[in-house]
Amino acid sequence: MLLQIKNLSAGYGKFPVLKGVNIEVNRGEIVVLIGPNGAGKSTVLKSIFKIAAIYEGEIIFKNQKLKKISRHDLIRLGISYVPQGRVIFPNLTVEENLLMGGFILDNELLKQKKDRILEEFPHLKKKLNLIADVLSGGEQQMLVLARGLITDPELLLLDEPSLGLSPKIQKEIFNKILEIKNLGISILLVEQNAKKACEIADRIYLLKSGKEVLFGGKEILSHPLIQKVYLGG
Amino acid sequence: MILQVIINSFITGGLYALIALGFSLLYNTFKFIPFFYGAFAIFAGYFLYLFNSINLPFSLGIILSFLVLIILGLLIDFFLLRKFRERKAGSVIMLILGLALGIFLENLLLAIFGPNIKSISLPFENITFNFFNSSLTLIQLIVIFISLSFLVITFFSIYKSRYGLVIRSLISNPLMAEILGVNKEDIFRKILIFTSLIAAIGGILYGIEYNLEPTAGTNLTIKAFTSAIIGGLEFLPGSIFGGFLLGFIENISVLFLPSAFKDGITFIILFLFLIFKPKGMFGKKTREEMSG
Ligand SMILES: Nc1ncnc2c1ncn2[C@@H]1O[C@H](COP(=O)(O)OP(=O)(O)O)[C@@H](O)[C@H]1O
Ligand SMILES: [Mg+2]
Repeated sequence: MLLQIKNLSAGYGKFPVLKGVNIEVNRGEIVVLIGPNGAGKSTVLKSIFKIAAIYEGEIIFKNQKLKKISRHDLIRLGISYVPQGRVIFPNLTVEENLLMGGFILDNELLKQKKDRILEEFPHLKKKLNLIADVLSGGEQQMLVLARGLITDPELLLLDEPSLGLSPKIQKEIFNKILEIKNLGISILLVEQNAKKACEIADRIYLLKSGKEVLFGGKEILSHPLIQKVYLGG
Repeated sequence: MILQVIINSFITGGLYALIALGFSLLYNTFKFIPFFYGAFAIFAGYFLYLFNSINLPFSLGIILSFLVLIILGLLIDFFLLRKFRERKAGSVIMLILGLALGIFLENLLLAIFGPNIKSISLPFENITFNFFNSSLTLIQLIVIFISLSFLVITFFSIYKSRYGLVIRSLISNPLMAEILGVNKEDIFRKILIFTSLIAAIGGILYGIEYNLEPTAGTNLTIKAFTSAIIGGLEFLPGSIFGGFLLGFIENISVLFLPSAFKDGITFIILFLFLIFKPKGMFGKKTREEMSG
């Protein structure tokens, strides 16, 4: 098992959002976390990166408890986090954004990895010298994906990559996520767009009011709870 | 006449630009207005004066002043700024902290060195060059040279080096930079060392060119703040431009206004910018915050 979230209670200040959540990610899997707005999906990822406060429970990555690891060292362990909202460095160029993705690499390796990632994201190649702010939403999403992948992480945490993008671009993004999986990278994907996300999922967790109320393979899509929340059934 | 104004603008402007650059670097990384920075810089001038008066060699005095300022900077951070950072203190509290620290440092200077003007004696003769009805002393030439070269070096380090990229990313979005592996506290410490060094150079050059008095720090802070506002607080190179522009305006105003009004001009410019162009000449847009 790559990532194990055990009985996690977490939140902001004194305000608990997650109440005893259990999530597991195995090597090579895409695990999708769905749930209504405000259910605490982002908070799960934020607790891994110590942005939300953890009150109880533990998070274990490759048999190592993350409690004592500083936020800036998580990427060195092999966890990449692409937060919700396409968090680029808006005033840096596309190339500089990519280079920052490889901050932990030495110069030689960084150059190598940058060239390789541009093979995987050829569209960014022509935009390297543009200020990242001027990219379209879809391009920015591709940029943060590329930036998150440049270090060859073992686990990618992805928060709502399709949010606010056109169906065509959404499709591209989901295809990209499958490609990333095929590189052997495990993915914990948070999505509002439950239908699309579940199509590429190996396993699914449904989160509601800070608890995982349902989990399993694609078969859970026919469960009345999910039908009710999402698929208009 | 105009040549002399230009020369003088380079002297004052270079100094202002240097202090403003350190000021703005601190502001953008530590995210609070470092109103103590001028007084802090002046400390270096006073220490050079002190080391001179106990007959240490001039160059050793300069190196020691640099060291003293760097240590003072690290102490201020360790015992004060870091504590407020950890507590995520609000901007009003940080504003008051910056002001209070400035007043404290100024009073410390007053207590140690007294209110009288001190001048730093030089180990060499300060020859004057005369040309085209204008004049420039050797020290002024050195001031221009050092401030210009330091500005160029800093500018290129920030925009062309990998280290500078890290600083710019940290300014742009500290949390995202951390997620990508940047140790914020470590970079903070290095920036503090660097801005302390800039302050030391600025304070020493200021002390040599204009003499020392405890209130000089406040004056310098206001010049730095105004320069940074002219160029846009959030835009690092803007402060360099602002420093030179302020130096030029001050020196040209002396042609038309009583010279006692030189410092008053700064306030007028500061207010004009705060009212009409609060984001500075280059008006950069605001940072995007992390959401979700
Ligand atoms: N920084 C924060 N401070 C306080 N409350 C927050 C913060 N971020 C999110 N919340 C609250 O936590 C709850 C869960 O938020 P979130 O994890 O973002 O939900 P989701 O991603 O499932 O939409 C919401 O009620 C939200 O208002
Ligand atoms: Mg969310």
